[in-house]
Amino acid sequence: MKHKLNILGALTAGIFATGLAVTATEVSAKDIVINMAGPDWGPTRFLQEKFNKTYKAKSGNNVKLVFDFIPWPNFYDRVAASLTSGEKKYQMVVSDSQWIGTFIEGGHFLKLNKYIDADPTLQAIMKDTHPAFVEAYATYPHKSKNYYGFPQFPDTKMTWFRKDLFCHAGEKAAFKAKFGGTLPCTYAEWKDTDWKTWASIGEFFRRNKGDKLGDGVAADDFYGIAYQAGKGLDFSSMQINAFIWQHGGSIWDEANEPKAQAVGVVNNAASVKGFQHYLDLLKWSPPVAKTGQMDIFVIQELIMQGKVAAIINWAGLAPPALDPKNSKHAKQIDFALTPGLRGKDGKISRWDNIGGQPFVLTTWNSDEVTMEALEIVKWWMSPEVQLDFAKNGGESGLMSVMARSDYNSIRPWNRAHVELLDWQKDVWHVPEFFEMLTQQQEEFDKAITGQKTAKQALDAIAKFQQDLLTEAGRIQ
Amino acid sequence: MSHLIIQDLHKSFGDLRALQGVDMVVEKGEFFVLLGPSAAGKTTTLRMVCGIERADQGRVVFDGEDVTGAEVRGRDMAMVFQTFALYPHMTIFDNLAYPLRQSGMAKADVVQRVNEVAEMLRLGHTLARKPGTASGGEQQRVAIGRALVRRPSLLLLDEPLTNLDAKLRFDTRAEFKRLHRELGMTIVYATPDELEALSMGQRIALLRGGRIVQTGTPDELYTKPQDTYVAGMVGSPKVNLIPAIRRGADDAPLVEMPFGAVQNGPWADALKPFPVGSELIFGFRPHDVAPATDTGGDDGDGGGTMRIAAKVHLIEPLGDVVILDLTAGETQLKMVLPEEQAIRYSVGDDVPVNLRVENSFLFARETGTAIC
Amino acid sequence: MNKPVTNVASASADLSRTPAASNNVTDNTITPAGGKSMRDFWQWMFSPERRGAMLVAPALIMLFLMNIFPLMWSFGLSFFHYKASSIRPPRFAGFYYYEKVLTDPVVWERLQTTAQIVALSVLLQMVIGFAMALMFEKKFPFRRELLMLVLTPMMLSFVAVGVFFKLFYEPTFGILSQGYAYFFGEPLTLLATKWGAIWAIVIADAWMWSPFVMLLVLAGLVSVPDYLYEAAAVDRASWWRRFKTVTFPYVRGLLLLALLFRTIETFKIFDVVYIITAGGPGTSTETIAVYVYKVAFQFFKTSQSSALSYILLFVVIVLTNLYLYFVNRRNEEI
Repeated sequence: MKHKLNILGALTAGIFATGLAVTATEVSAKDIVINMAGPDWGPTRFLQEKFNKTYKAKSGNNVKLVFDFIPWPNFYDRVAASLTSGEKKYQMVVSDSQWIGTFIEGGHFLKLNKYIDADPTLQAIMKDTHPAFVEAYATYPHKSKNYYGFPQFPDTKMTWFRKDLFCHAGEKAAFKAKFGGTLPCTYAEWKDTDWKTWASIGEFFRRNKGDKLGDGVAADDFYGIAYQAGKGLDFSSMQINAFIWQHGGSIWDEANEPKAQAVGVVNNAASVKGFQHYLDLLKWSPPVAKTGQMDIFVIQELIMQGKVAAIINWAGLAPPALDPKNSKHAKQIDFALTPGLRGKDGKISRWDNIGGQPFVLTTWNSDEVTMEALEIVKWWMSPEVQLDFAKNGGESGLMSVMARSDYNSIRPWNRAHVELLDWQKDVWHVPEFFEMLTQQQEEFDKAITGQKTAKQALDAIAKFQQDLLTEAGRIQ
Repeated sequence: MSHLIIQDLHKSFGDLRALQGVDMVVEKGEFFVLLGPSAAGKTTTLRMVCGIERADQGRVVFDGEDVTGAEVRGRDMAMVFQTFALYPHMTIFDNLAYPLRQSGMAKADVVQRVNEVAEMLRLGHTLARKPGTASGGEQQRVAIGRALVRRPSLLLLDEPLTNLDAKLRFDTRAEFKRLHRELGMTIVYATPDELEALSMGQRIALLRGGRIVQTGTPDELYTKPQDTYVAGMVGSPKVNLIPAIRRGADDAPLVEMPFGAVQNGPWADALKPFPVGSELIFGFRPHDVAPATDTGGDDGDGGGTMRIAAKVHLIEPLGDVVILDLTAGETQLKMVLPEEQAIRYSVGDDVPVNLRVENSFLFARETGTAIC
Repeated sequence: MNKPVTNVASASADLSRTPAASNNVTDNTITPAGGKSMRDFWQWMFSPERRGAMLVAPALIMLFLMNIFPLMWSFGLSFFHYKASSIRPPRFAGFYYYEKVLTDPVVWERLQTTAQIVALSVLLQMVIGFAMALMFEKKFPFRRELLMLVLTPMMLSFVAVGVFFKLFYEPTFGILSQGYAYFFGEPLTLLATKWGAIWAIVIADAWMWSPFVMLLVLAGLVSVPDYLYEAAAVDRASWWRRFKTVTFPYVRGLLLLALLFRTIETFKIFDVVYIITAGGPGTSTETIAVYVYKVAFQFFKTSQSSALSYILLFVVIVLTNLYLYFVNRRNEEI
């Protein structure tokens, strides 16, 4: 039955495509402008530049891609305002993965199944895209077979560390003497690093102004470790979820709607333990952690300014750290796997929250525009462009590209990125996500700033989600 | 002991030299008037006496104590401002009580004292009101009351009547005299109005351009002005000043005016040293001119009067008296007559008049100083 | 002789009122067909009795489109179930959202937070503004230059002020923390506690707006006649008594206006809070305005946020009326 439908879909699309091709040749070149909303940073800037330099529409139309670059802090607000106002400005949107449910249910994002079914190239792309990305970036409801997006910039978190400190013979010996373990330096050593070692690193590199540090002395108070603990957007949830998952806890599972519960799941003992573990490690972080404002940009700045030895942060923010114009330690920063929780079997669990953004199509465009937009998708997802993107600070979403022998050496974080992909999960994609996320961030922030215990915060989150999702009909 | 002594007081405001060496002595219990036109330095002098303004040079001695540099609060004086300076947001009662409350006086005493003052100044009915709703006269009385309520030994009054209408001024002049008599305090009173000065002041200091020109009793100022300025300032209608030339022999000087010559005035001896031909100014009060009767004196060479042939030029009736503007040849002069006498004359009439020479003044024309 | 009318404004009132005369005039002008009726229309529109209305019309239309209509529209929405992010059409809800908002403990908590910030900030602005006004009332060298400097914060944008202070408060790099560490040895994490964060906001807001209070108070101080001070000096009033009885009455009215105005403004505080603390730690500094923003533009609970906004509008209207009452009373006093 399903097979039949697919054939039917392919047929109609085929006929349609032929018609389009005919019209295209008859009417000759048309001017088509694709407006695309995206955050203002490297990965989208690269897309625009690469497009301007190399893109030629196969249809012969004169296709222009015009990016609306929006600063990150306003990104959601601006996109949401445009989409919900009905101005129909954008033909394509770089969307954060969590938002897609909101705008799919709002009727703004286009379901792509019929186009994929009709186009072998798109099918191949979907097949070659890493399953973690398909799940996080394309499906709604989550993990369903409804497809909406393609990876624009797939992002993961990894450890950023100071080679000059971690690979320093004197420091390594001192660490060994004090904690008995190895101060990780090589990829393999980092791969064997768990949260316990991470805590030791935090304690070990806590130096006061004037103390010896590596080959010199600390110019200012120096701290060992930091990861995101900010109240804004998702700037703590992304790290806390990793701890919760590694400890065997859960978040509300939208794939099991409407059976999945929030109370008793979100605040179960394992989740509380995971969150508590996250909170415990903050004491080795710079004092800004106490304010609940240590977001991803703050920790990026901390390592670039030489105030901390190692952080866990998105690969997407890494290029400036290697740029001597921004970073005092551009030459010394290197990348490795994130630490994880060592189980009884000695294996390390590295579950983590995926980042990055898919790009999606909007629903109000003519078929002609939609087809041209899909052509841009195909162009972007082609191996050459993907490889070039990776070389210029991006990450590929295609497994075939990542499997290339030279991929890992293109950028210093690629090896870790590829290895970590199998450990990625995502938060909810339902339209209620923003309320859930905001309330959760507030409660996490209260725990981070010491106003609540881990248990109290998770209880409050669980209750809020239970009520909200029940009212929305997602929990029965 | 003199109550207030001012010595060589100087004060400048930028380029403006407000006071250029003021000296004066005020006796205890005296009603002392500072008379002068605006910008003569009256207000500045008062402000320096009470300490609002600091002197550039000179001394202020009060009750035998040098207070030149002392704080305002350290001086046992009160001042009534030209603007009254009532506190607009307080009731009249509170305005009156203001100086007392600072001294920590008991409440009942304050009320009693305020009521006394209010009664004396007939302000009883206004006490609950704000100054803005009171009449000009009431406001002025509040200002005085506020100054009196503390019973200062010296009261400074800065043109207190300027902001009142004519009728009220007249009444208040009498009021001041009564207060002065009843309370017996020393009063220094600044005014540009010679009538106020003459009617109230026991002594008057006449100021001009930051200097005291003459100090004396009203009578002294009226009868013995030290120069043409004083003569002009004191007396109403204004003194007649006629250009004149010294003539006659060295020991029998003669003052020649356009309408005739005169000799044997009170200044006769003083004039002797002046060379013949010296330029002079001859002055006489309009009150000292009267229509000539046949029984009057001679032509001015012998006794107390000088006859002038004049013509009525203008008539200014002032109620009970009338000012007649006369012309004698090219010269104009004024005469004051009781209304019933003046009624006989009309403009254009020839009127021979007699001038009482014994009350006349003589000044050197160049310096304006009196010859006597 | 008929002169061609080339300028609408030059057409006399009489001509434009009587069609006959107007025809008479226009018949002799050389204009293409249709120009005549156009000109008649212009003449009709700009006739003296209509001119005033026509001139203010564009402003009124703009006001209606930009202010009044959206206001009414959102007022209407507060009585419907509606989410701006959803394609579902609105359904009538009656007073459901008003009831929901008024019984929501979170709203009351946010109002309480707002009240705490308003109370502290406005008080601080009053005290600092008054003190500065007393200082600037005197003449001293570089007074003008200093006055200009002091007034600058008021003219900065909220966002700039927010960013400045956020950087000042930053515990690792921030100048405040560095200074604190210099004396006390450890960094200052002002934004880590509820009251620390509230003070952080209050200081930024007071820094920005004390000059405003100063300006108003200074206007009052300057209006005190010098002779009253002199009278008070002669009456031997102490400094404090002189201030209380002479100076203060002249400033009282303006101070009250400043108080109300700043209360209304601070009640709506958003930008500075949003940037410095984003409502944190937790929700300790989330003011009602930040909360409305969150509900309206992040959660897209359009109806609920409209209802809440109208309740807040009511509060502001009450305060504004108080303000206007005192403005009028002061006008009468002067």
